[in-house]
Amino acid sequence: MKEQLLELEKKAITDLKTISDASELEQFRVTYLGKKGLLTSVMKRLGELPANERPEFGKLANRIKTNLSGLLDELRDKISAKAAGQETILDVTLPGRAPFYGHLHPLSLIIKDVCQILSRMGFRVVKGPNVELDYYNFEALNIPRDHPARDMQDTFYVSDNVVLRTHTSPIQIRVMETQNPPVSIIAPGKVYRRDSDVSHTPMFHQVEGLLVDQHVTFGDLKGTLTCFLNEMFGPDTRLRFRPSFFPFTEPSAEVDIRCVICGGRGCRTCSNTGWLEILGSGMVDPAVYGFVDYDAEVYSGFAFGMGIERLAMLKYGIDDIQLFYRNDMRFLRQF
Amino acid sequence: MKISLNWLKDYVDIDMSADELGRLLTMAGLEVEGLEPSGQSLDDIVAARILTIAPHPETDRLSVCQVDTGAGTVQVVCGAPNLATGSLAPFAAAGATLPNGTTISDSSIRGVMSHGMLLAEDEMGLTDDHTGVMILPPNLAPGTPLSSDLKPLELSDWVFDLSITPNRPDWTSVLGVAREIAAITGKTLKRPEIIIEEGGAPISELARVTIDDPVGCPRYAAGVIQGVELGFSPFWMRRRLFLSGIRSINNIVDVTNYVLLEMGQPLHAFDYDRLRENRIIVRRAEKGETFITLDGETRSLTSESLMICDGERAVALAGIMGGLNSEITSDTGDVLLESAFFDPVTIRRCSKRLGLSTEASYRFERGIDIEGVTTALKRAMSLISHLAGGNIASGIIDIYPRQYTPPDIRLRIDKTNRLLGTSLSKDAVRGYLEALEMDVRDMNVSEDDRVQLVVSPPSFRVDITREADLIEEVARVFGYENIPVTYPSIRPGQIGDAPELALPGQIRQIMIGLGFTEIITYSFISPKSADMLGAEEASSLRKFVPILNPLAIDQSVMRTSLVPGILNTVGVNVAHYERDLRLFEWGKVFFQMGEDLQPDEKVLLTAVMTGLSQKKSWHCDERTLDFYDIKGALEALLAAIGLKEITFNRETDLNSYDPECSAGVSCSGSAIGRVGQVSSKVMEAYGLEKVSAFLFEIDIAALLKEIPATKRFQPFAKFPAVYRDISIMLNREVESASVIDIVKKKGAEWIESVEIFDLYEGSKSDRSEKALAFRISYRSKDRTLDGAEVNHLHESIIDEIRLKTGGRLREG
Ligand SMILES: [Zn+2]
Repeated sequence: MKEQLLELEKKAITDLKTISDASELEQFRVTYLGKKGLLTSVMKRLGELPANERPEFGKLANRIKTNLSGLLDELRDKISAKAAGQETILDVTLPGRAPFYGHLHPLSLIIKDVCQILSRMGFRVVKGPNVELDYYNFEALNIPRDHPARDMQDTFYVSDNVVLRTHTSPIQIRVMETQNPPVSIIAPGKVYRRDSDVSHTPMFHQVEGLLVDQHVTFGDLKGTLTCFLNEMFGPDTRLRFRPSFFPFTEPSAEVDIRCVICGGRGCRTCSNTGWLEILGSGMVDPAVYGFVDYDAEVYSGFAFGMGIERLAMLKYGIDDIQLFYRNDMRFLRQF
Repeated sequence: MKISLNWLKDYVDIDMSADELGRLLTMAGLEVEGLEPSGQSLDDIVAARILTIAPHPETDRLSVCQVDTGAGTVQVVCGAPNLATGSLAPFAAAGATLPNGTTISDSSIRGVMSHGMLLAEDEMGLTDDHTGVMILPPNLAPGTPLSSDLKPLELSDWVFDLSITPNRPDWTSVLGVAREIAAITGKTLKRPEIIIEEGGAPISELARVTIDDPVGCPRYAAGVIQGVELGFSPFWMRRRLFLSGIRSINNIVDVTNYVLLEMGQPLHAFDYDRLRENRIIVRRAEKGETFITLDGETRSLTSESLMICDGERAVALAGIMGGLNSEITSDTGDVLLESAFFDPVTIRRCSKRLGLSTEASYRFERGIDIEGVTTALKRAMSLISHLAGGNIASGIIDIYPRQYTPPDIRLRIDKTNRLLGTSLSKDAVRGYLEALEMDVRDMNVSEDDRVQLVVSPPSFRVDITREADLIEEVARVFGYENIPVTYPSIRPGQIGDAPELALPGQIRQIMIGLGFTEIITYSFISPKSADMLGAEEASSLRKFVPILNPLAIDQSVMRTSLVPGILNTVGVNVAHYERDLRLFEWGKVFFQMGEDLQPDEKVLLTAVMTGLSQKKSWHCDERTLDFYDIKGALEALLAAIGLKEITFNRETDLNSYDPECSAGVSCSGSAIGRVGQVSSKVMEAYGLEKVSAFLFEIDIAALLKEIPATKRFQPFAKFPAVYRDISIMLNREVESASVIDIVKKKGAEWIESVEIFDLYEGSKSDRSEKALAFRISYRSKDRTLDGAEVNHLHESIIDEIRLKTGGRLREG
């Protein structure tokens, strides 16, 4: 008889799952829990049991009754709520309660990339002043006062001897002045040139690099920059080194990469040459060692510098350099 | 510098396309910045013979011509003054397109039909000449298209725009570029033709030259041609000058410019008859001397300026520009031609000081070939007598006190290979240098047994003075692309990353996490910004570093604050309805430390919030920003980088902030920045009167001092905490922090934390008092506190608050 009771409960729960409206619910109540219902009729046969089994049986019957009534009530609530259109249904497509989030400036992102790649290769990051002495910006970089090389960079002057640095290269001198080789540094920062048109802003960013040690070769320069540019622009990036002139390096090399826009077929970005100028570099000129008291017979090294705006424009496909300094949210939000 | 391909071909055989040549030059270090066709889109234009010329019935400025176009006779209306029956001129029929894109159509010109057009040189883009129609060589058949290979005219050409680095003055001439092409292609250089028939009087009878300043002028040569006939230069010369961007003046001046471009030697032609005493004296100017250059400008000179003078007065600014008083005019019959070498530094200083840069000064200041001075003079005389006739005086004057001796430079083969990472042989190195016209000799190797060469560069290679210069030439000719790629093993240097370097990255990352977007603005601002920010007279905001040569007045001083940049950026964005902004800038400000000194450069972090704190959404109402939004962001930032003991206090000298809604920020007692609402005056000054902006500014150096160098782990509390709440009515002037201070002082080490969980600012009618509710967490480090002792302490704390603040417990 106990088994019969448990069987009944099982069946009732199964039935309950099929119920979808109030009339079926009432039907169920009558069938199982009504005065003439199945549970009542089983309980009426309590007397047929031996007296010692009766309390246990009674307990079980009561538990089942409570359980079923509970389930019944729960279902009744659901059905009536549904009938009244009040049930909560989670709309997963509603926007969440989002906190604000911001964006890094694209130039910061590129500087971060460049510094990360070069730091991994062993270069340390250093900083220098923006308002620089003529000596560090020009003189000690082998750009004497009356030399036409000064025309390569249009300079903002603060006084006769103080300028807004026109490149990050003065940091080379500042570092070599204070430490002996080996030197392996990179220096990101703002630089200034008196030049403002569609493709120039009077302030822009550069990252400078310098490695000085025994036995550093031009081949090492090629290897280091090849490694760097392959990480920056992808492993298939083709590059070329071509002769150029910087007063503080000799030999000097301009580094071009295969145009990332047209793949070398020629387009407006690369002025139809298929190549993009990306870096200036070269072996440190012995004249520079003279200014910092390094022995050019013992040490050799290379230096390189690159414009961050140009890297960012190529990497993100930005066609207007002025956008970097207008700080329009419609621009910044894209990075 | 722009030069024509056809011109280059005069001096070296070129058997490759213009494109290929361009690549070759670029890879040799002579960067081609542009390559443009010229005279190549003349397919629609043919030679036409002018058969008859009749006056236009309506106007005498026009003529009506019948021309033979090869395909028939057509009528053309033309306004050119040089029309001549029987001559040939370029003709474009209706439907033809000119190089500038114009399409010709039949048209009625003041009542007379014109079936096409006779063309001037400028209309075909050949030169800038528009004085009449172009007259073609008479042997052409009518109908010959101009596009075909018209040998004598060489119309089809390419123009290279070369970017010449300052170390290579020898490349500033067509011959110099041709020489480089010859060297890299293994061809022979063909030098320009010089034919001189001296028929005149000996030069010594005609002119005298004295150099008073041999430092400024180490060499001066001159020649005289008498009885020249001034006129237009021939088409070929005008065309080459035009392609190089030089205007044609007359045949004498054109020759000087032509030879300047051809050989890189600036020349000057004087009207011989206007030179007093037939003398040339090279001397420094007197202080205060003035001189009228041939552009009509009066130039005031210093004793640094080098002058060319005749027997009485200055006649030219040496190496820069001639004078009005001796220039070639239409009356000129006799010419004295100058070819000299002037000291680069002297010319550069004078040119810079006068702000006068010319083709001549550009070359002199870089250094010309001192050995080429007389060759260029003879070339020019040869051309002048060919184009303008005249009688060349016999002999030339050549004052050259100290002969040039080429330097002997030692070159070590092993040093070369060690620097480049190559293994070049001595013979290979010798070959590369000899291709560049260098004189290479073996050196006795006894000294240190190393293979060495002694190299003398040619006189036009003024850039080569040291071993390093030679190594560069070896690398260049060997080819950078052939140098093997190797990888250095980078040894750690003595300095590590600067300590402030990790922080910018970390702070930027936290700021974007807090919802702020990074901006970067110019380091220079308007000098008005100090006033716009409401800075006091003594404020450091006024310690501007001025720029002597700014591009614009609003970029003429270095910034002393990031606020101007950030407010301008707010303006830019508000203008297109971006109102809910959260921006920050990490950057330097600059404070003047004294003239001729570097300024104090400080790194600041500045952030701004405008608009709504919370937009209206499906789950909440909108809320505008207030002080606690910006303060909360700042507190979150400071907590995230590990700063403790942050206090906010009212300050009086917060220039640009609203005094009622701002505070100074300190960490462990030292000031690190400011926070608050921008005053309405400042917002007005920036045209943002409708916007409320909340700012914070943090001095990064001050912040760095407060960041703990290392972090130490603190064990968790072992014993339970006991919580007690207080709700207290206070005068509204009493600041919450003062209550918390009282609690902490009184409760000492048993106070774990004090939190404010409620604020009631009184009813609308009575705002004299406010209620603050605090939850105090009591905890001991070494035992479980019992209720009674906590209650005892709590009571005494309440008494203390009452006593010190005059507050009272709030009921219920
Ligand atoms: Zn391209």
